Amino acid sequence: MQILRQKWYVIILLFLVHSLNAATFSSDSVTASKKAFVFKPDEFAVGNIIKICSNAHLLPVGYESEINMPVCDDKLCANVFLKIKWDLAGNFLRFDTLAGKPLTKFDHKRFVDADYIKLGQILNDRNSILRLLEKDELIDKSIKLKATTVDAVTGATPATIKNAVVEGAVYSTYVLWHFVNGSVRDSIRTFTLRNYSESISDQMLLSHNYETQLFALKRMIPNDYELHSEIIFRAMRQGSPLIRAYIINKFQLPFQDKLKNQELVSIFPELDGYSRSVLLDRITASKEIVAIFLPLMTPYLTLLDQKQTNKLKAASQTYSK
Amino acid sequence: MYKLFLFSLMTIFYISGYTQKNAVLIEAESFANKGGWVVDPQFVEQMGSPYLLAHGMGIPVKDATTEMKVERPGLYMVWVRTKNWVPGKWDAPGRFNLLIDGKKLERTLGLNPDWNWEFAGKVQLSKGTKKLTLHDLTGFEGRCDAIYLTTDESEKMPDDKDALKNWRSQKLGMSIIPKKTVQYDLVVVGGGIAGSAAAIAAAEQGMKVALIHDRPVLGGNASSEIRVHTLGIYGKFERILKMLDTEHYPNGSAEALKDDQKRMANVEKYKNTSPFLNFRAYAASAENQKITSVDARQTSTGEMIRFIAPLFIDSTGDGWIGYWAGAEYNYGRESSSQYNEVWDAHGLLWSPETPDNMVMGSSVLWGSENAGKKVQFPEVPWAMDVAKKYAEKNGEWQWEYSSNDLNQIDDAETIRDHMFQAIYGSFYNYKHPITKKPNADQAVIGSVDNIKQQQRADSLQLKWVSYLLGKRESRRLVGDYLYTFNDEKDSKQFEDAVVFETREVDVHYQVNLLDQDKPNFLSEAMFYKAKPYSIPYRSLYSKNISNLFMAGRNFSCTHVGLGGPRVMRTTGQMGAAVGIAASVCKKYNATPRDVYQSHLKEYLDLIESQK
Repeated sequence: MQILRQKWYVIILLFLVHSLNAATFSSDSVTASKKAFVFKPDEFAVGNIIKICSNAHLLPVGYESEINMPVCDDKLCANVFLKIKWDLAGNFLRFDTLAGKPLTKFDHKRFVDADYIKLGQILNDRNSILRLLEKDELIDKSIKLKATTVDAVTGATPATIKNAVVEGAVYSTYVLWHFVNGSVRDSIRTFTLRNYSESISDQMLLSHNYETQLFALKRMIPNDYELHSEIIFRAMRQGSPLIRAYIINKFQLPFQDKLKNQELVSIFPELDGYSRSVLLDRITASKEIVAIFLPLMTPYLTLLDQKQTNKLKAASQTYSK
Repeated sequence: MYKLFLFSLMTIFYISGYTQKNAVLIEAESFANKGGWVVDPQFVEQMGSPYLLAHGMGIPVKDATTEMKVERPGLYMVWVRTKNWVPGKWDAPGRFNLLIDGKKLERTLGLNPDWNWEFAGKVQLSKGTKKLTLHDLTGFEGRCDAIYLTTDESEKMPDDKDALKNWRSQKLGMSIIPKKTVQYDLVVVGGGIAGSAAAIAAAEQGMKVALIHDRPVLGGNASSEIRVHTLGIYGKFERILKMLDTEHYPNGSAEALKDDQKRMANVEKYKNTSPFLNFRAYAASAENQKITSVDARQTSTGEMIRFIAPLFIDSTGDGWIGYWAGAEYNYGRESSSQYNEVWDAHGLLWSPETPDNMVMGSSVLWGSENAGKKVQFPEVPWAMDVAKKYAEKNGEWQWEYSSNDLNQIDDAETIRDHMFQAIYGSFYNYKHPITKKPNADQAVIGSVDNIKQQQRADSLQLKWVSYLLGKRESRRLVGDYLYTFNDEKDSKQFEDAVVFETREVDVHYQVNLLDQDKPNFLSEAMFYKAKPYSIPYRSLYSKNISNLFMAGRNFSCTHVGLGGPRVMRTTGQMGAAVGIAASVCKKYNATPRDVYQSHLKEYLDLIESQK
């Protein structure tokens, strides 16, 4: 992704980046959407059209799909109609209901507000226990519940998963979680890569989702980190400790541009404990690096704890011999 | 030359005798009556000794008392080795006084950072027996390692670890080499579930076994002192492990007490197993890559014993026996590419691209109860840097701490103390909730009744806080086979499979890795659902120490490889497996490796007969 830029291009791009990130993927920001691909994995009976959405600058900002999906095997629940949104790295963002198509629970009771909130929280949890469960583990069939509106019975929700599902909408929760967090993610990523550009990359680097940032970071070669240091430093500043540490480990230190060494160290006060630790490991790793970075650290020595101070002292002693 | 040697020897005797008559060193852990203070031996390797801890959960503990003999009357300078465990702009949390014959010495103790000798005061003492009293002032983890009285005003006590060790030996007139020696067929070090299972399995095969454990009860993380329930399956050792495991009560439950009793009673049934409780191993000697002995010290009396055996099992969790003997070991998280342990679903959280020290952390479990009346809890300003605004009334397994800068062994006291700050600060916050309007989500999900919440918080009191770290991961000794995530993921079949498991591979990360505003003492688990998997015998003996087995979390594995089998029924299987392997070693005068190379069928048949 080594793209040479001209100054005017950088200025325009920075303007666009300021106005764009995953967080701006709202209905307001989307001005156009068009079919990207049809997603039809084996486990789902119906294929779904995934659309790519663009903003006023014609830059892709994310994906959406209006789904009409059967979710249970026992005829007790209605199909789910929703509009689902993902970001450019296929990370689920949110869902919107469709006019006249509310979500329903067992016995066709309508979702209340709390159910919608809980469903949103569950679908946003990529570490949900639902990842581990098979569909037949969702219902305790030893306990039968009789529906009043349909002539049928179903089982109860096992106590162990009550927090992981919307009660009364166990299958809906399960199927939706696996749909929005499943292989559609890979399909979206593949599509994004097909149209990948520096503007998309920059947008993803400034995402608030660490996995989206990582998607873009992993597509950079080591030299890119210095070449695009301005946006990389911004990504560091706003990123999670995990992302910051990843970036720090990818830097080829020392930077060729001495000012960039200084700029990197100047971020130190804004860093969390983990990324500070990783940065200190990096700048104490060799004689050459120590000689450049230890003097730059002087203004920040008061921020160090005892262990970190000892680390710098040890490096200083080791490499001054 | 010989005359010079004699002269030197006489000089040493003279100085030693002189100092002993004009100075007295008392190890705090040897106090005859410990009152409410507890012996904490967890950090001996780092700070030099077991110590007394005033673990009162905010209520000053009862006095500890003991007697000492003064040989020569005189004006004595009294020094106490102690530590302010959270130095800062507040009163030190663990303050206490020292009294001699009921008279309080002038200075309050526990004020200076790091382990150090604090001056308590001067006292005129006559010849004879004196009563020493440690009087806790706070109930918040004051600590006393030793008390030293000397008539020499200029005497400087050492702080350096090695110098202090020699100084102690000299003052106490004790060599670091035990005078008492005992011999066994097998020495098991560490009486957690793995070590206890090893002792039982070996004893059932007729071996004479020593089981060395540094606590008064067996069980390790499963004991009533730490209270983690046992997970995993029994594999081939259901009968043995049912003697040792726990019910599936919530972590931190007092029900762990009854399982302690069950465990102890079952181990004691084996007359050819000798439990050495409250003995902590402190050295292992090895010659030609073979361990000849392990030395252990009683954690209160200081009695030392040398254990000699042809075979040793390291179930210390931290791999101490292997470490002392020079066994190869690993620590930290490997890069995901080193053993191809990538799992895309969780990416960097699962396994980093660059190796680091963010191993799974250690937990301190705790809980509170309703006292049925309003109960005060003191302000804990020293805890708030860690707890911040987090409020909680009990702590389960998620209360866990790991940091890239901290080693789970070398920095264990710092880690434990960090958890103390997290617990006391969060509990204080819970009892002093910030009353605010519910936000939109709370208002929808259910109304928050601030008055009722306050009433419930007012009556809460701390019921139990462990002072022992429940460790998940530290040193991992290297065996002939290094067990990785791929062995679990691919359900790799081993000809020497001896441990079997079906549970998910379960690796933790600190939640503040994704959001720096979240508490740094909480973790989250990631679960990889694997098909049934097994662990080969070759992961259970050292690659380079010829007579050393390992069972427990210090077996031969990677960081992610540990994720599945780190729970205690599984580590118990490891223990039983190596206990039986030891009996095959004895039968053929063979090494652990020989069992794999020459006696595998007989060994596996023996395991199969265990059901």
